[in-house]
Amino acid sequence: MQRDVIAPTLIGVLAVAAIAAGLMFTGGPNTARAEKRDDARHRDIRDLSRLVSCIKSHDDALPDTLKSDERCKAAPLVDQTNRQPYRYNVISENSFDLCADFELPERFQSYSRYTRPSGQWQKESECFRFTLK
Amino acid sequence: MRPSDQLAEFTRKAISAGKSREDIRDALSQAGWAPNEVAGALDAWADIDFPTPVPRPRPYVSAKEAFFYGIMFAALAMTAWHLVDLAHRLINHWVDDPLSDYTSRYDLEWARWSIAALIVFAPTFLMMNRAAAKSAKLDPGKRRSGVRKWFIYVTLFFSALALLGDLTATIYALLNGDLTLRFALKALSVAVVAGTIFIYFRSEIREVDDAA
Repeated sequence: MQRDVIAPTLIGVLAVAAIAAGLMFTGGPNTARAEKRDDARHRDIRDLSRLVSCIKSHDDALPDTLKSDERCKAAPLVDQTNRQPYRYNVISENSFDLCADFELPERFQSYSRYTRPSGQWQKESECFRFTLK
Repeated sequence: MRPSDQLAEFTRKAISAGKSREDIRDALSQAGWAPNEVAGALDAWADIDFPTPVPRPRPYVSAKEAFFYGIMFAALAMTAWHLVDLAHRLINHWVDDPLSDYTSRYDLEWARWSIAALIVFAPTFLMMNRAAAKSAKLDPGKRRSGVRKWFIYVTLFFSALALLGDLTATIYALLNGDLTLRFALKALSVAVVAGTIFIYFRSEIREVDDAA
């Protein structure tokens, strides 16, 4: 093989290999779309945690169920992508879980340390746990 | 008239007058011209037996080639950058380092951006490079393109800097206790990409210099 062909061929082979490996790593367009839906659910759960926190600050107790409150900023109670209601469980006087039907829950396990301010991911229940001070 | 024009004009007239190259060289040296300037002025004219001085081919500049090579080398730069960036993210994903468990959800998004860039720019570079090589084979005069020469030297400059920086980072990692398998693979990926580009264009520039 001629010298002037080797280097461009090597660059081409490396690029094709990197693209293939990159697609294995990132998943295809369907996976990316599922990530977007999970991100939307995560944002909703963050907003719901603020709603719960707001209600507790007014009533000095966690609410029994997830509901809107005119004293606090509204948050979506239903998953806009599948119309399923978000789930809420009181764990203790100051902590509660918010759950959704995540399509790629393993992502939250991988990146849990970076989502801690927005709740701690619970691997077993696949919910986010919030603890109020 | 600029000094270089004066030198060229003098050399042309001296050759026309039948002066030998040695005589011209001595005269210019006595006048204070540096040896490389004298050699450059004499090399501009072919040393052949003909009644009038015969000019050698000189590098030329063309706006069309500036556009062509600008796109081609930008595509090469994007390809090299995103190839290394994607390789580093893949290495982070597949090679564990217990002391560095940094992961970010943005890794996936940046990796997708690199994939998209590679899908666009790698074929662009390869096709344009192939077209340039084909064109130079059909018309060797194209190798004298001044624009191409500049872009090749800029590419050599950046690839050499990347190799030196890579070596520096490797030595630092060794001294700092950070020379893990993950780091070594990342350093290797930079060396392979930058080294391939450097070796390829170093041989290209030799052909350009021979043609000029």
